[in-house]
Amino acid sequence: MTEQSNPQQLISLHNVSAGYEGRVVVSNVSLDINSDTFVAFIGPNGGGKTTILRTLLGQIAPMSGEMSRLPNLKIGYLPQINDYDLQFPITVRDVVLSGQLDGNRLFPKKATLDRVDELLHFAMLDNLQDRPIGALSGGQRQRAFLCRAIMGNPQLLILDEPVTYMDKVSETNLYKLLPELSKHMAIVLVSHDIGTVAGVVKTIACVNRTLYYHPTNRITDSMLKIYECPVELVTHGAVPHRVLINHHS
Amino acid sequence: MIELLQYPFVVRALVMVLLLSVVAGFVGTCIVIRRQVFVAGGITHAAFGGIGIAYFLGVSVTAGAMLFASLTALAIDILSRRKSLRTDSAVAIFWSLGMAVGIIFMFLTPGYTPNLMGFMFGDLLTVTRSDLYIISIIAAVAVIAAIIFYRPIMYTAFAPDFAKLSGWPVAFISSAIAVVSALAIVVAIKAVGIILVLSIFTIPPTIAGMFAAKLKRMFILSTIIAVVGSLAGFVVSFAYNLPSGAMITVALVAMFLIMKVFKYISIRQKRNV
Ligand SMILES: Nc1ncnc2c1ncn2[C@@H]1O[C@H](COP(=O)(O)OP(=O)(O)OP(=O)(O)O)[C@@H](O)[C@H]1O
Ligand SMILES: [Mg+2]
Repeated sequence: MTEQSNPQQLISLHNVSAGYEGRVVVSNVSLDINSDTFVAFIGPNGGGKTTILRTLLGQIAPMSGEMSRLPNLKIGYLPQINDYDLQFPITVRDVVLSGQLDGNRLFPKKATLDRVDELLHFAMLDNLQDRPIGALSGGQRQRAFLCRAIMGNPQLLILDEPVTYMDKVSETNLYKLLPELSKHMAIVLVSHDIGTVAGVVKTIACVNRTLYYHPTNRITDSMLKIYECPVELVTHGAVPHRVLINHHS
Repeated sequence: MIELLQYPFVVRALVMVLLLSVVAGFVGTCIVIRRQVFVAGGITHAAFGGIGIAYFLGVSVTAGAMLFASLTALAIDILSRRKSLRTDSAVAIFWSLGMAVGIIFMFLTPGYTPNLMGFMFGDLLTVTRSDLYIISIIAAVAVIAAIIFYRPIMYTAFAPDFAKLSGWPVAFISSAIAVVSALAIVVAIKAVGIILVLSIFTIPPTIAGMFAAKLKRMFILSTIIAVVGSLAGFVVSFAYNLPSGAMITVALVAMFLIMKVFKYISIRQKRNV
């Protein structure tokens, strides 16, 4: 993995708390997202991972603390829940194309359409590209939404549990692709599959009411105990050498 | 039948039917894919408030209805985008308020006997030249906007949150569609009446949606269906001296049933191959 020469700060959170309707969900979150960031958020259900992502996206405003964001930051996003209208008349191809961020977006140029082809091929959706999005299986649809997130060559790619619904082949392809992408863009990834993810990302953040940042991708015992990360997933992890190391502090 | 075309009011009615079908195909498709059929119903009935106020003040009924319907459409659009109120609840409030305001002002109008039946069921044979100018402008705006802004219309309707993140002016597009829908609905009220406006805006796109996987095709197909259905309805209503709006609605529903059966049979045939 080649390091980016001059990492640029994209988003910075300082002691930020966030939540819904006046109720704080996560507090004291401090985190810098730089152009070379490649971090995985782990933590229990309801810990606040999606809430932090939505703060980064600007979908919810911080309730306190400071947040700064590069103006016109280009973001690609794969939401955890896609509650779209499955009867909507949009093809898989157009869903992917809808991730376009630059150039002529009203009448896309050939280079853009070529990139759509490339992504569809990568996601093994070539044959399904003219089908309506509702006529795909859950995993195929998830792959289409992944392509949409990557399509615009964003500066920051945010993936909320991307491998949900995906089979092993697609999952492996994704985890092979991400380190490549991280040479060109910052990546924030949420996953419950800690064992696999730890071998892919550069750093890990545990999210449970607050965010504990670990400037390493090694999973420590204390990390799991203190922050109630789901331990059983680790012991089932697919990358054996990443499984628990002892950490006394 | 052909010799009837020498009467200008028949020609105006026919031109109205054709242009209204184009508007219904394009604007109606936007309403249907955005799941705003009920919103359109609310705007239709709210327009009645504008009609009542315009009568009372003695100003142009079309202008009054357009203003009232547009403001209602904007209010519903903004309220439902803020998520502070459920869309259907907001619609219900404006729906009944519009009707109430309309009835009160008509009641207050001295020497009032406006043709209530006319608003409820419309009459294509009373279409004026200026109605045709208005519907032409709306049709042109709808078609040109649908061609130029095809992608943002599609993206913002399908995934508004994602579209917003990608920098599309989601709120503006949504409000623009709301206002154009309101204007289109008011013109259509004159032709087919408050009660039947919904049929011409929603049945053609619904039929088209059964066959079209692409939004483009849905625009075109629903326009064709609207033309065929409303022409058929108009001709029959004229021949047998029946209310045109009601006949158009019946024709569209008949097309819907035929297409449903056609689709059913074609699926069965595919299965048997
Ligand atoms: N739209 C909302 N309105 C109110 N409360 C919410 C909303 N979304 C989430 N919450 C609450 O905020 C808390 C954190 O939710 P969040 O979605 O951030 O968790 P998460 O870490 O992403 O969990 P998961 O692993 O299940 O995706 C939960 O307790 C949840 O009930
Ligand atoms: Mg979540």
